[in-house]
Amino acid sequence: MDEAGLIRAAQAGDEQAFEQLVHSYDQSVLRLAYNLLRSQEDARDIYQEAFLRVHRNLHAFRFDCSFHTWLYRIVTNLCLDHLRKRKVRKEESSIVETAEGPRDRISTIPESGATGDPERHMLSSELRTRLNRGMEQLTPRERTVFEMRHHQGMRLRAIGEILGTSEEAAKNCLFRATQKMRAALGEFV
Amino acid sequence: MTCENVQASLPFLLYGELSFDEEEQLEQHLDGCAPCRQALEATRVLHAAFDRSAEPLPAPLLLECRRELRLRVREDAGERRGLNWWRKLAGLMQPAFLTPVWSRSLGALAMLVLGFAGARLTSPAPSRTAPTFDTVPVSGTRVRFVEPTENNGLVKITVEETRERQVTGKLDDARIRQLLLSAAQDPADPGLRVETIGLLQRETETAEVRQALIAAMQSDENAGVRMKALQGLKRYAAHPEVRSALAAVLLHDGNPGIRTQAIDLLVQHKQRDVVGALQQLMEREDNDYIRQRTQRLLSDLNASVDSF
Repeated sequence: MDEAGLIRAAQAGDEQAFEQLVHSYDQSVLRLAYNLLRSQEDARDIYQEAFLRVHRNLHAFRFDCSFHTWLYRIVTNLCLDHLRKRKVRKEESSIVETAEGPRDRISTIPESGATGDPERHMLSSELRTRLNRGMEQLTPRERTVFEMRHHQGMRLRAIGEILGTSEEAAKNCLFRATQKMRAALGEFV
Repeated sequence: MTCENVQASLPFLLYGELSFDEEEQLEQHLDGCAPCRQALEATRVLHAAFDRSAEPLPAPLLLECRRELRLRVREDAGERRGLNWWRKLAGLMQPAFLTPVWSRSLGALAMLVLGFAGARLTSPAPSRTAPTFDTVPVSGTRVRFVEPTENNGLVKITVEETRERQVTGKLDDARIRQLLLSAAQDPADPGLRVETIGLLQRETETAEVRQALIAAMQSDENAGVRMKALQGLKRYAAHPEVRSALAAVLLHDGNPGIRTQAIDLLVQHKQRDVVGALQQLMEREDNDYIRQRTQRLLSDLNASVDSF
C-alpha cells in the first residue's frame, strides 16, 4: 500500500496502517529529536507526543501538504518549544557528572577506532567538545535548521515549508549556524 | 562575483543548494582563484567535522519508543471511545426543551433504568447463552456492527476487541514457540522480528525454528533481521539445507555485510556442494573481500574459478 493509502486506512481507524506509517518515519524523527535535545528521555517524550498528536489529528489531515511536512511541523514545533524552555531554565543538559568531574556529554561517547591511539583520541575528544559548544551557541531555530539540513539531508525549501518560513530565511539561518560553528571550532579545522 | 560572495556561498555549494547558474558562476570563479579553492577545501573539512556532531541513536531506544507508543495509542483510542460514548449519552439526556426540573426527574429515571440494566448485566446468569460484556468501554475495543433484535428491545452489538495479555513460558514449550514463529513473520514490525529471531536462535535444534531462520535469512526485507537469522544458523554451517540457503544468500542478497558473513560461514566447512553457486558468484560479485574468500575456497576445493 502506498503512503496515501496508508494514511487513508489509518484515518479510517486501521491501527496496523497507522503503525506502518509511523515506522516509515519514526527513526528519523527520533534521530532528529535526539540530536537536537541530546537526551534520551527528552527524545522519547518528543517521539511519544509527536506521534500521539498525529494519531489524534490524522482525521483532520487533508493532503494539503505532504505527510512528511505535516509530521515534521509537529516534531520541530515540539523540539523548538523544548529548546526554548531549556534556554529559559538555563539548563545545559549537555554537561554530565562523571567520575572525573563534569564533562560534555558528547565527549563521553566512545570514539570508534580512535581508542588505540591516545593522541588521536585526545584530538577527537577536543573536537567533539568544541562541536558541542558550537551547538550550544546556536539559537533553537539555527540548531533545528542545521540538524535538518546537515544530518537529515532535507532541502532548504522543505525546511522553510516545515518551519513556516521562506527558503531564503532558512538559508540565512543555516548560514549563521555554519558561521557560529566555524568560529567555535576555530583553528581546529 | 567577488571572493567574499563566493566564500559565503561555499557551504551551499557543498549542500547542493545553489541554482544551476549560481553554481556555474562559482565554478568559473574557483577555476581562476586559488584562495577561494583553499576556502572550499577548508569548508569541506568543516563539513566533515560537522558530521561528527551527530550522536548515534542508542540501540534499544527506537524499539522502546515503538512499544510505548503502541500502548499509549491503544489507551488513547480507548479513552476517546469512552468519552464519545458518554458524550452521546449526555447529549441524549439533555434535549434543548428540557427544563432543569425535567432534567433532574429524567436523570433520576435514567439512573434507575441504568441500575436495573446494570444489575441484569452484572448478576450471574448461568442459563443465558448469549455472551455479554464485562466492562464498557474496553480499551482497544471497536464496535463493528449494531442491530436491533426482535425480542425484548435488546440491541445486539458485535465488538472487535484487542486485548493484551502476557504469556510466559520456556522456549521448548511448543505454544511459546508457535507465538515466536508467528512474531518472526510480523510484517509490520522489523524490530519485533529482530528480537524474536534473537530468541529463536537459542532453540535451533528444532527443525521448524531452523526453517524459520532460513526463511528470514533469505527473504526478510529488513537487513538487520536477515543478519540476525544468519547468525542464528552459524552452528549449522555444515548442514546441507543451511549451506544451500547460504549460497543463495551469497548470490542474491544485496547487502555486502550479509554476503560477507555468508561466505565466512561457508568457508568453515570445505564441502563441494556449493561449488556451482560459488562459481556463479565469481561472475557477478564486485566486493573484493568476498571475491577473495570465494576464490580461495574454490581453490581449496580444487574447483575452477570459472563456471564454463
